Amino acid sequence: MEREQVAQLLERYWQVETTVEEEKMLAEYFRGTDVPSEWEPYREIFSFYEQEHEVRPGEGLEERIMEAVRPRPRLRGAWWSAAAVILLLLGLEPLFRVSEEKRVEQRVAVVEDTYDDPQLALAAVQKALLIASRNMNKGLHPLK
Amino acid sequence: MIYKKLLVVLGLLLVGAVSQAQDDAIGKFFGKYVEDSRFSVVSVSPKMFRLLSKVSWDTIPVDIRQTVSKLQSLRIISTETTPYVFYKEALAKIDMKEYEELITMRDKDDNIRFVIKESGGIIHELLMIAADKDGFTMMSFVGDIDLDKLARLSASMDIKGMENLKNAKRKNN
Repeated sequence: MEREQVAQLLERYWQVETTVEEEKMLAEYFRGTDVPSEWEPYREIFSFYEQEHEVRPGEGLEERIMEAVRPRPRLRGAWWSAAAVILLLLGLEPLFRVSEEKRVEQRVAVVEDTYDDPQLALAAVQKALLIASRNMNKGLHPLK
Repeated sequence: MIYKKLLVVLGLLLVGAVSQAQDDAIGKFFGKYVEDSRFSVVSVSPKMFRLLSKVSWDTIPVDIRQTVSKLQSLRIISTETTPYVFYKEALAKIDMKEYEELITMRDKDDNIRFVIKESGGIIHELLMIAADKDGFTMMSFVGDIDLDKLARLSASMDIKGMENLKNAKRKNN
């Protein structure tokens, strides 16, 4: 190829007007030995493209990509975290459980015990029960 | 992310535990009037109820013995001042979402209201609010309450039981 022609092709190459055929010719030319020194950088460019062209995808690349992007059911992970939370809560549950008796104690704590002597307390309870019982009967059988 | 959710859940649990400890109707009433000299107050705590087992029970009727043994606390607040006013106030303080109405009775003097807190077929609290012209009484029994047995108590109350009450009172003075 004449120097003149190469220059022209290069000109069109940078204008992105060359055809595939012409680009092949250019690549062919720059692979040759009689490249003027001022075009030496072009040799590198074209040989780079040439080399890159030779690169082939590795074994099973497509499979690996498809495997990587495959929509994965997230359920498994979700189940695991749900299970973890439940286990954790079960483990912590005793901390939050307030026994019935404790609750009563907390509620009743507003007032101190009126009696120190259980005997007197029992008498008071007994009396209260009888009052409640009498009132209940009054309510249940108002006509008596 | 999971930790954040966990924190929220734990927070909710805590709120639940705390709100369980909140005051009930009679608790509010107590809180308000316990220092008020117009009111007299009786409180028997769960601790005292446990101590009751050490007392001699020989003279106590079986029905009462059985009923008392299932109680955990007793609170009474009463006054002779403006009974009907306090009756109204007490009723207003009852959260009817928590309690179930059991008995309501009203005639020209008497106002009696029984409400219960029930879960799983067990009555955990019996709250009586009563007023007549002589006084107002609010009474809360907490424990496992057998209403039939309680209703029978006054009927089965015998002279012996009354004697015991009198004795206890005298000791009190």
